[in-house]
Amino acid sequence: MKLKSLAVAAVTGLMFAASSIAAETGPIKIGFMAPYVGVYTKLGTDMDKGFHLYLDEVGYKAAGRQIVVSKEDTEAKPELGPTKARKLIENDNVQIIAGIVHSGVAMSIRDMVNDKKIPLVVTNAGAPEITGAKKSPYIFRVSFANGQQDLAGGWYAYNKLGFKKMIVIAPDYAAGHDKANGFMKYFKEAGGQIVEEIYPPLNTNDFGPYLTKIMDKQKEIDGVWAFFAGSGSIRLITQYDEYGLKASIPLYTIGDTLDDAFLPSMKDSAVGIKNYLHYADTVKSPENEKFVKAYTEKYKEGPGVFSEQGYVGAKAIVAAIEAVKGNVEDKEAFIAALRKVKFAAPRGPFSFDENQNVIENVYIRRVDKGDGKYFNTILDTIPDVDQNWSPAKMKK
Amino acid sequence: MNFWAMQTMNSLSLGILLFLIASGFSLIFGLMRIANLAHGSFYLLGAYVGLAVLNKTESWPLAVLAASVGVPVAGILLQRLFLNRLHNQELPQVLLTFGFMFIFADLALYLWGGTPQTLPKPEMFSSSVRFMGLVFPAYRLFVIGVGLFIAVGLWLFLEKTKVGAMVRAGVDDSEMARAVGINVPLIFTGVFALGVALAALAGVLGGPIIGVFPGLDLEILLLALVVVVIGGIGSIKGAFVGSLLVGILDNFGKALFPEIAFFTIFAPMALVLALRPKGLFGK
Amino acid sequence: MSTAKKRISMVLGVALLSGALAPFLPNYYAGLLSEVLIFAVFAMSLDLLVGFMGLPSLGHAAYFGMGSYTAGLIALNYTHNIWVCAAAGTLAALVTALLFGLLVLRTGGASFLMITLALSQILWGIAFKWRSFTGGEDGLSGIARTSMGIPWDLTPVHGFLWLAIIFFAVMGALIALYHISPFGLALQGIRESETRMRSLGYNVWLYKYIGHAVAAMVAGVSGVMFLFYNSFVSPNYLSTGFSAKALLMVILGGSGTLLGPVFGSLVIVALENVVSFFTERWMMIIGATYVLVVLFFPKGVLGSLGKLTGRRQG
Repeated sequence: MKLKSLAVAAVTGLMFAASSIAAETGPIKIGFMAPYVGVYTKLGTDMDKGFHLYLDEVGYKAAGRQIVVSKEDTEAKPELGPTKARKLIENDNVQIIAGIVHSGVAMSIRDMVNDKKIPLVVTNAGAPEITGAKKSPYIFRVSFANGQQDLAGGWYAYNKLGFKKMIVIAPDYAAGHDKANGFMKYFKEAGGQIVEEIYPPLNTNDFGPYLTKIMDKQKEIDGVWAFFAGSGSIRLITQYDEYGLKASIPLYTIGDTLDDAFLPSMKDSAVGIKNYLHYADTVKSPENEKFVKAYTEKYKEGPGVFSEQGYVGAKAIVAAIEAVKGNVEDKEAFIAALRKVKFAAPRGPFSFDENQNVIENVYIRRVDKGDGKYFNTILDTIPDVDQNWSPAKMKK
Repeated sequence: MNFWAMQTMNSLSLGILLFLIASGFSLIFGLMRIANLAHGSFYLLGAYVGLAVLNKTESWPLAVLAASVGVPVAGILLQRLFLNRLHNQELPQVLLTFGFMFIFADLALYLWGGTPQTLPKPEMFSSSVRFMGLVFPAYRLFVIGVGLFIAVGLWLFLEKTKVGAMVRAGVDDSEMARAVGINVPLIFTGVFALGVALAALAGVLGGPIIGVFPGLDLEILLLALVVVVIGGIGSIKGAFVGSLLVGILDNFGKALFPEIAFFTIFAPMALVLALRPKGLFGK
Repeated sequence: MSTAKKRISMVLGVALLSGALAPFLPNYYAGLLSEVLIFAVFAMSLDLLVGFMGLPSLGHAAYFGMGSYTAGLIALNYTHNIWVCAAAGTLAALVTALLFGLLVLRTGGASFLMITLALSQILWGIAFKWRSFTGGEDGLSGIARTSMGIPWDLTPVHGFLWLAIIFFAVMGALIALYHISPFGLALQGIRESETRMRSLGYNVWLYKYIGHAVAAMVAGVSGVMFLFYNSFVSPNYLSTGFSAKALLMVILGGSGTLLGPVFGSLVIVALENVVSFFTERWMMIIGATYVLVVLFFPKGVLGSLGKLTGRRQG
């Protein structure tokens, strides 16, 4: 009898040991959430491409373990967030989740990833709360917080570009207001004046009435700050030119409004406009040149800012996996390793701040035309911009 | 002064575009009692077809032709092969067009992808017109011109031609019209095709201003509905007045009361519903 | 009374089946089943307008969303007690319906469809814009499920599923009885011929007004359930997309039947979550299926199966 129970115990013990060893050599599963349909499709597919480009570079392996990615289409609909996340976590047993374009989706799964202790690496969603009021030790963001780049961009407008009196125009939703507020903060603190703030509804097609208002006040201002994304940006830039404003009142925008992907649609209307963003495909660094070349070769089109964000997300995850020697099952060690990740990304130096949001360069750019192509030339750099940047943080 | 003049011009260009969109919807509804929920889809398809042709040939006349003739083919197929089977069943017909809205939306997504795009303007209208201190995009003037031309043409067609009289007869009493020897089924198909053609043409014309992207079909449908509710169902005159009214309210609303910009279109609609449910010129 | 028993037993049958399956379903599928049951009630509430009263609505999500938002705001600011939140949500849906009813009941048919579409869009716009109150595009999140008012813990997926099953059984039974109540029969009479009912002395407008409000209340309470299911609400809950989804469920399953909308809910939720695994063109498949149903099975799949499913009284 005793021998039998001893044997059972031994076998059980061996099985246990075997399964835990197996767990540590089995594949690491990452869930990737992004919109693959709808208005944000390009952002989602670009992020996806960048993410997979990096994993491809390391052969889908880290610390000797294979990496498997399951993707779920969020359609950029917040109400689908919980269902899709649940599928990845409960059904597909992923250990890490990455991606997410839409802030609403990120917010809708915040509690789930926090309670279930699943590390989430956000590669776009910009709501400041994600690494602010609603932050979690398990949530990291490699892209930006809405308003982050604008803090520096606003300071630069007054102190370096000579804008003193501006009108601000952005769509009427959380991101629009957060970015506008970020811009206005140090612009006003430096002495700048905001003559008017205009917030058209998010899907405005026709900027006529707003541009006419701006025309009406042209004698009171020396510039207009604008944020619009996607099709809104195309319409704003072209209509701004059509109404003759481009010639008389300079535009200065956050780079979303002059995204490389849409410059071909804007054509000459975009040329000459200064803007700022944490990335441009013209950044001169070995990492970026390698990235742009590899991306273009693999996908037959150039990378955009969302591609780079996806790429960096994958790179950060792999770096952390290597740091814990593949033991992602030890969640506390894994997130501690993620916090310490630091490397040269295509956009420049990459690291996380104490809220687990990215610290990055902000580039001042200008749209130029050459060889029949449109691109953003980099004019200047403001380094180490984080979510709570202030001019005082600048090293003189 | 300049501000008011410019805003009025803005209102006109928006209003005319709305008219092109709403008139097609109103015609079909007025004649055949079909609320074509796929109307926005035809606008979308028109814009995409126009974009495809423009990308390949850069010829605006060709793009307009392709959209106004090509898309109605889909419309005629929808009407003859599907809607006809549900003859005189108002609700099932509406529900059918609703299903097609999904099919067309996914087809467009499959063929042209999810990235928002904008149609290029014709070369000769791509600059601005300066007039007495006003600056106005030449293209919008072009849209206003084309729209007015079509509005007048439609009116003449319906009021002054024999075919138009047959259409009106069909609207008033299709049984009688049939009895008198009017080929009502042919008229129905013709009018449906015309309505779709108007939507597709609006898609091409609106393309440089509004752009084209997934989800636009629903936005356009909503606009058409608001105009038709305000102007009255089945009335071209109502569609015209309703469109201009909405254009003015929307523009001045956005310019003067930006906080409620979203509602400047829906508030008048609710008002008309409350006070005059059949719309301003409804039958 | 045997008809009532038969109908209630059909509803209970579905509930029991769900209950039997529940313990064996992995978390992900248990979640989906909750979704099916909640949307089943939402679709049944829409059918109270569409099949039952002959009023095709494409704006029913207005009431659903009002329920969700109100419950969410109560939960975040006052109490998580699910009964209080549900009562508040239902009340909000009712008030909205009483207001909208004054506008939409002047018309019928396609006009009714268009107007309900536009009105729900207005609510969507308000939810979107009023960021300080509704959270705008990002919505309200972090609404925990607790066990306030319910004798077991709702936080785990299975815990909530049990509530969803009971919810479905109760609402389904109430709707089953409503269909054959004197009030319900009068509404069906009005659908068949308003003039006849008027000549019989019925205050047709008042009946329609109340019937519309009842449909809205049921939608509202299912909105409350969906809020707690996702622990989240966003303007999309008020959108045409949600209204359209419910309408698809009703038509696919069979309008004017008791369990048709339930079947429709199962099909649509399955299509959305499972078909999308196999092809990206699942939207087109839903549209095509729907078109086929409208053309060849105008009474919906279950309606066409006739007697088995308790078709409406003739």
